[in-house]
Amino acid sequence: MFNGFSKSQIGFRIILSILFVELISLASGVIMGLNIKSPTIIAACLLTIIISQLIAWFISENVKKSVRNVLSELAETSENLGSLSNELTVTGRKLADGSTEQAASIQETSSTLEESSSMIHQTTQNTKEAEILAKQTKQSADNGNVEMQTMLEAMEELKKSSTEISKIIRVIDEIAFQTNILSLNAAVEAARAGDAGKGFAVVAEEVRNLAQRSAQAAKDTAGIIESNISLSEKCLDISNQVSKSLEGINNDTHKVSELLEEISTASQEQEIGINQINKAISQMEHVLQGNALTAQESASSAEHLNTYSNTLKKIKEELTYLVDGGKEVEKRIIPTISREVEVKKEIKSQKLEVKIKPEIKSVPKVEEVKPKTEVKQKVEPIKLKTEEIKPKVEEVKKVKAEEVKSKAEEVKSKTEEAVEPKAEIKPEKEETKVEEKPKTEEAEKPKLELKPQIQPKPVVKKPLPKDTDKSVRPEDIIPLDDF
Amino acid sequence: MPIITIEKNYLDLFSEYLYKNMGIYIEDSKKNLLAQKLAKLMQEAGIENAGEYYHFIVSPPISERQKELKNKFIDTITVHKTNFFRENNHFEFIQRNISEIIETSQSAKFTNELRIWSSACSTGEEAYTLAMLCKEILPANVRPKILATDISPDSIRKAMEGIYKFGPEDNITNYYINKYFTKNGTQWAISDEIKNCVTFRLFNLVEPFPFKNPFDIIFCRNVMIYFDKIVQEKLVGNFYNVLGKKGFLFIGHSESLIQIKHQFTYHEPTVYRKN
Repeated sequence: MFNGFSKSQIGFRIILSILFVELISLASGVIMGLNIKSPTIIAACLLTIIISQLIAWFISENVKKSVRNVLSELAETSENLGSLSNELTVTGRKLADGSTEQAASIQETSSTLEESSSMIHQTTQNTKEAEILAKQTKQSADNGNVEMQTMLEAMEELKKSSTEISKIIRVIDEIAFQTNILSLNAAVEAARAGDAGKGFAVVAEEVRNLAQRSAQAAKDTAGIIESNISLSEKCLDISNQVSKSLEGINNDTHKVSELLEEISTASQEQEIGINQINKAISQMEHVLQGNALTAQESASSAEHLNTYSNTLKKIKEELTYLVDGGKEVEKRIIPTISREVEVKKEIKSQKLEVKIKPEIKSVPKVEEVKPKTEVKQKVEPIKLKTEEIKPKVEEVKKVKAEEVKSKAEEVKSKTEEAVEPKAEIKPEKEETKVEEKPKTEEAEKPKLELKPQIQPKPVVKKPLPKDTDKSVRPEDIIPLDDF
Repeated sequence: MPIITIEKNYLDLFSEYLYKNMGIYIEDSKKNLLAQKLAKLMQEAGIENAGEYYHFIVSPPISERQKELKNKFIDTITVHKTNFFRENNHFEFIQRNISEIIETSQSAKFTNELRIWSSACSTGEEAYTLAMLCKEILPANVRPKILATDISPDSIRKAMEGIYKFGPEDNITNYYINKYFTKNGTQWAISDEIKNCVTFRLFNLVEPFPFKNPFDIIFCRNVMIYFDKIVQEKLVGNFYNVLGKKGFLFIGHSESLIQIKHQFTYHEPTVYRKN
C-alpha cells in the first residue's frame, strides 16, 4: 500500500507517528498524574496508551514493510545495474579491440597510399620532363627539315654549276683541239721555210705539246665533273630521303608529345585523386583512433558504473540494517551475499563462503570485527567510498533518533561497525569482478589487494599465463647472432 | 576522466625519438594521430603528464613496469597489419621459381637449407606462410630455415604463440588450414611442424645486422612506407649486403626502389635481385 511513496513521504509518516505516540503518552501521563484516584480514568489512560502504542506499532510496521519493498526493488535494480555494467565493460573492451585493429589496417593503408602517391608524383614529374624533351626533339626535327631543304637547294645549285663547268670544259677541249691542228700547220710551214724555219718548228712543237696537255686536262676535268654531277644527284636523292625521315620523326615526336601530355595530365589527376583518398583515409584513421579511445573510455565508464552499483548495494544494506535492526541484517544480508557469490560462478569453494559468514555475523560485535590493522589498511580505499554513504545513513538516523534517542546511540555505533566489516566484503566482490574480466586494468590491480586465500583460485589464473609469458621476453631468450 | 593533452614540443620530441631509434618518420600531418595514440597510452599507464611519460619511455628501462610500458609503446606506435598469404603473388613467384632459387642458393648447396628472412614479421603470419609454402614446394633434401624478426615484443610473443583467428581478409585456403592448423575453440593453432621451421627474434631494422650467413630470400614488405628515403636507402643497402648471390628481395606492393639509390637488379615489380 505504500509502494508508491517516496523516501521523504515515508520519513514524514514516521515522524508523524512518533509525534502522535509521544503526544498521547504525554497526555495520558498528565491525566494520570491529575486523576490518580479514579480507576476508570486510569484504565482509560492505560487503554489509550496501549491503543496509541498499537497504532504506532502498526504504522511503523507498515512503514517498515514499504521500506522493505523499496529496498528489495533497490537490490534488484542495483544487481541489474551491476550485470549491465559488466556487460557494458565487456562490450566496450571488444569495441576498443576491434577499433584498434581497424585503426592498424587503415594506418597501413594510409601509408601505402602515401607511398603510391609519392610514386605517382614522381611519375608525373618524369612525364613532364619527357614531354618537354619530346617537344625539344620535335623542334630539332623541324629545324633539321628546314636545313635539309636549304641543303637540297644548295645541292641543286651545285648540280647546275657542275653542268656549267662541263660546258666550259668542252669549250676548252675544243680550243685545245684547234690549237693542236694549228701547231701541226705551223710545223709544216716551218719545214717548208728550211733553215730559217728551224726555230719556229721548235715553238710549233711546244705549242702542240701544250695543246695536247690541255686536251688531257680538259678530259680529266670532264670526268671529274661528270662524277660530281652523278654524286650530287645521289646526294639529292639521299637528302630527299633524310628529309622524309625527318618529317616522319617530326610527326612521331608530335604524337609522343601529345601522348606524354595526356599521361602527364592523367597522372596529375591521379595524384590529385590519390591525395583525396589519402585525406579521406587519414580522416578515417583519426576517427577510428578516436573510436578506439572512446570505446576504451566507455569501457572504463562502465567499470565506474559497476562501482556505483556496488555503492548502491551498500546503501541498501545500510537501510536494511536501519529498518530491521542488527538481527535481521544477519538473516537478510548473508543469504543475498551468498546468492551473489553463487551467481559469480567462479567462486564455488566452500572456504570463501565460510570466510564471509563469520565476518558478517560479527557485524554487531565490536570485539570480533576489529581484529587486524592490516585488513583495515587494505580496506582504506573502500572506506573512502563508504564516506559517501555516511550522510545518507545520518539522515535516516536522525529520523530514528527522534523516536528512541538511547537506541540511536546504539544504532550509530552499530553502523560505524557495520561499515567496516561490510567494506571487508568489497574486496571479495571486486575479486569476482576481476575473474569475469580477466583484462582488468593492471593499474587497478594493486588497489584490490587480493586476499591470500583467494589468490590460488583456478579462475584467477587465467590472466596469469600472459604475465608469465611477459617475463620470458624474446630478447631475453637467445641472441640474434645465432643466425 | 581527465582529457590528456600532449604539448607540441613533446610531440616533436616523441617524433624525433621514433625517427632516431626506429627510423619511423612522422610527418607533420600525422602528428595528430601520434598525439591520439600517446594519449591512449598515457591513459592506460595512468600518467597525465607528457613530460613524465616521455622520460619513462626514453630512459633505459630499469623496472618491470617501465619495460612493460615501453613494450606497449612500441606495440602501439608501430603498425601490425599482416595476413596469411598477403600479397600472394610473391608466394606464387617463389613457387614458380623455386628450382632456380635452390640452384643459385649457396646455403642449399652446402648446408641443405633455404635461408629466408621475414624482416618485419609482425604477428608471424608472413613467416608461417613462407614455412607452409616451403613445406609444400621444397624438395625433400632442402630444409627451410626461416628467421622472423619484428621490433614489437608483443607481436613477437603473439607470433610465438601461433594462435590465430581467420577473417575474411585472410587469403588462406582450407587446404592449408586443415593441413597445418588445429582448431582450438574459435581459434586455430599452427602445427609444431611449421613452428619448428621459424625462429622468432626481436630486432630493430635500423640497428646493424649481426648475421653470419647470407640469406636467399628477404621479405621486407610494407615496412619502408614508414621510413624516409635516407633510412630506406640504408636499409636496402644492408639487405643487399646480407643477401647471397642472386638472392631475392621482396618489397610491398605499393613500394618501389626507383626513388632511392641501390645496387639491386630490377626483376619484376616489387621483386629485386642481387647480382
